[in-house]
Amino acid sequence: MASTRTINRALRGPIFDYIMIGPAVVLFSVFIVWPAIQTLYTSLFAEPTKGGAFIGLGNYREMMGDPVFWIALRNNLIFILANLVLQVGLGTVLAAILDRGIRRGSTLMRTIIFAPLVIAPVAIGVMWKMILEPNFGLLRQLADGIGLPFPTQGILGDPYLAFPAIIGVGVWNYVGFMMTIMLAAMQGISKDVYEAARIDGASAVQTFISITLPGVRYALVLCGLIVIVGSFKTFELVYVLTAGGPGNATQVLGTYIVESAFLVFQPNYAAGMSVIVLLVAILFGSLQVYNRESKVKT
Amino acid sequence: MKTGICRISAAAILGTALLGPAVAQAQTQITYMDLGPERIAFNEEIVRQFEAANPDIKVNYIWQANEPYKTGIKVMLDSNSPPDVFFNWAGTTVFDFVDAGVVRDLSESETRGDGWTRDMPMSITDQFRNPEGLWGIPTRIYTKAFWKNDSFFADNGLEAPETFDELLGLCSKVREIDPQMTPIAFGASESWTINHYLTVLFQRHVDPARIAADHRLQGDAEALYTDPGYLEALKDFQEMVDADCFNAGINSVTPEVSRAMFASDLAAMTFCGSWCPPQFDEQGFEGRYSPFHFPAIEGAGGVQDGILVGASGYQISAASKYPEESMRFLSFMNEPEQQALMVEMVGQLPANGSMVPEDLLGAANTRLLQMIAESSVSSPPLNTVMETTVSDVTLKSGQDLVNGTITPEDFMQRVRDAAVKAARP
Repeated sequence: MASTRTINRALRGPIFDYIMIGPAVVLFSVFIVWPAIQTLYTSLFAEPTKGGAFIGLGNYREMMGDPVFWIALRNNLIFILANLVLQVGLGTVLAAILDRGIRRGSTLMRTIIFAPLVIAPVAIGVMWKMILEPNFGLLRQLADGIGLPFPTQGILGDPYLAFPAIIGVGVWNYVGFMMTIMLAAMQGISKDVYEAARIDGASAVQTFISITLPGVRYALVLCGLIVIVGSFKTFELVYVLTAGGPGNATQVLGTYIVESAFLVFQPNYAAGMSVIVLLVAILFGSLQVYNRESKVKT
Repeated sequence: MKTGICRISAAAILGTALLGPAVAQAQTQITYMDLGPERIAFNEEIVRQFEAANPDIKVNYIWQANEPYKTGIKVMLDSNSPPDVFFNWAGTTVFDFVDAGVVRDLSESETRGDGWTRDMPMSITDQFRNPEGLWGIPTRIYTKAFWKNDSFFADNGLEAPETFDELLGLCSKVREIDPQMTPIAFGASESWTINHYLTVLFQRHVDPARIAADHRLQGDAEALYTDPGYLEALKDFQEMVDADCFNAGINSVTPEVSRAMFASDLAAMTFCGSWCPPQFDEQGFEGRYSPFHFPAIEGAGGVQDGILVGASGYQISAASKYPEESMRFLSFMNEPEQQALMVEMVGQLPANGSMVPEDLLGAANTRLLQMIAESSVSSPPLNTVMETTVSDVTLKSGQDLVNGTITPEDFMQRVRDAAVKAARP
């Protein structure tokens, strides 16, 4: 009896807390904090092929004057904005339709919309490359069939169409995920509230704006943050579809970092860019934590 | 009885557990990384033969496709477990690895006169050499030529063009004969393919000594890549694009698709490497194509009978725990039997052609070797000899030039800016 009490006391004490969070702290330190510090440290030195001397913020200064860095950053920002509107926006609309609009076949619709998410990004890239192929691809065949002109450089080879195409494939890939989160949030809203609104004569749009959206605001913010962080770190889809080309037209920070580190052999410059991406990710990660805390308080 | 079986089983399990690791430890394991997938069957056979001849060595063979390999090998060399023996193209990356201290000097093997040195042309070995040492062993060479669809040419009374103007004229003729037929199949989703055109066009327009000095960033930095011939070369390339010589969507067509187009009678010509014939044959196009030289450009100031030729081979990682065994494997790969096997199974040109019986070379390879012999100058592809950052700018700008988003002047300005920056100490 006494020993049970001792165990209970130990389970309530701070030592037990430390034991429980210990493994997570160790793993986080080894796999996140330490590499981050190492990356920051590496970014302060010149490239190994140029002597590897300490140059302080030299790599960051070079970044400011590097047009490709700015193209990549601009593309990341466009990617974030487009995904916020298309992935979260479309995901919310689809969720609303499935929650309140469609009476039959909603499970089938949900499965179809969600399906692309379970396909590996590389497989998605290969599949869309084949669809968009400018001589024999499915889209070319369709365009020819209905007499529409096809872009001379194809879609992925055209500097003005390649990035919108990547955004489109990204939306196709992730909209199901956003829809699932939003749908779960919508299904948490009491049906009584909708019923009361209906009795008061509210239209479907009024119901959506006044009841559904406020009811899912935290899920909406969560989706937004997931999309922002995900879009900022995007790599696979761009790498497989265009590898940042044609030229640097579809370069994003992820592909530019890999290219700088492993193709152009400038690992220290790439480390500098990684630090920038890390800082932005930390910023948005903090917003996510803040959002969660304010939700708890509410 | 039951107890006896249990005892025997326990002894067998214990024995396996104790002796297993000991047996495994007695065998040296080396990792060999190469390009794929066209060399998989050959490599597996080589590894099988080598392991049979050297039972104390086990070779772990891994491969990656052409484009991912360029990134993959750098990641591997930067890791804690780099491959012992790995493929590389002769040129800049060989010496990037030397500068980074990740490869081993193989001069000793050459001095010792290991098997691979027998009759190996010095000019090819030199592509892996700098004043500090020998950093790789060549095993094969590659070249690039125009290939024509023989039956299409014969049926329509067409001749292989001898001048650049004739080539442009041929593009129009092919379009007139069959609007569905692409004159030259070309895929530049991987931009090195544009660089191969530019390699030969630069060779046609600029003095080879000037080109070599520019690539090595020698002399006044401000004077690098200022020869007007470079601009002329780019204009010629643009003229080919404007003359509708190529298929649709150059920048989004993969090199594999362009080869398939040629081998499927959808293109009259293609500018393709010595690695292409086996792929044409695989599609049932065997014996229906032949190579011809990139045409001369009348009035241009460079070399008109030059050709693109590069070497590729293998390096040994500085971190290799088994450099002797790795060297033994490398030397084995370059023995006459293995070189002949490479020609037979992969259809690639051996670095030491004299070691391979002529009948094994095949018509395409024999003709390519003749074309190399006929050429007064051979130039390796730009992207293997230019300084890495300058090469990157050239590769990217090639796609922009095809798209018409930059002019030849913009292209050269970018190259010059990159060269000046790279030449800075």
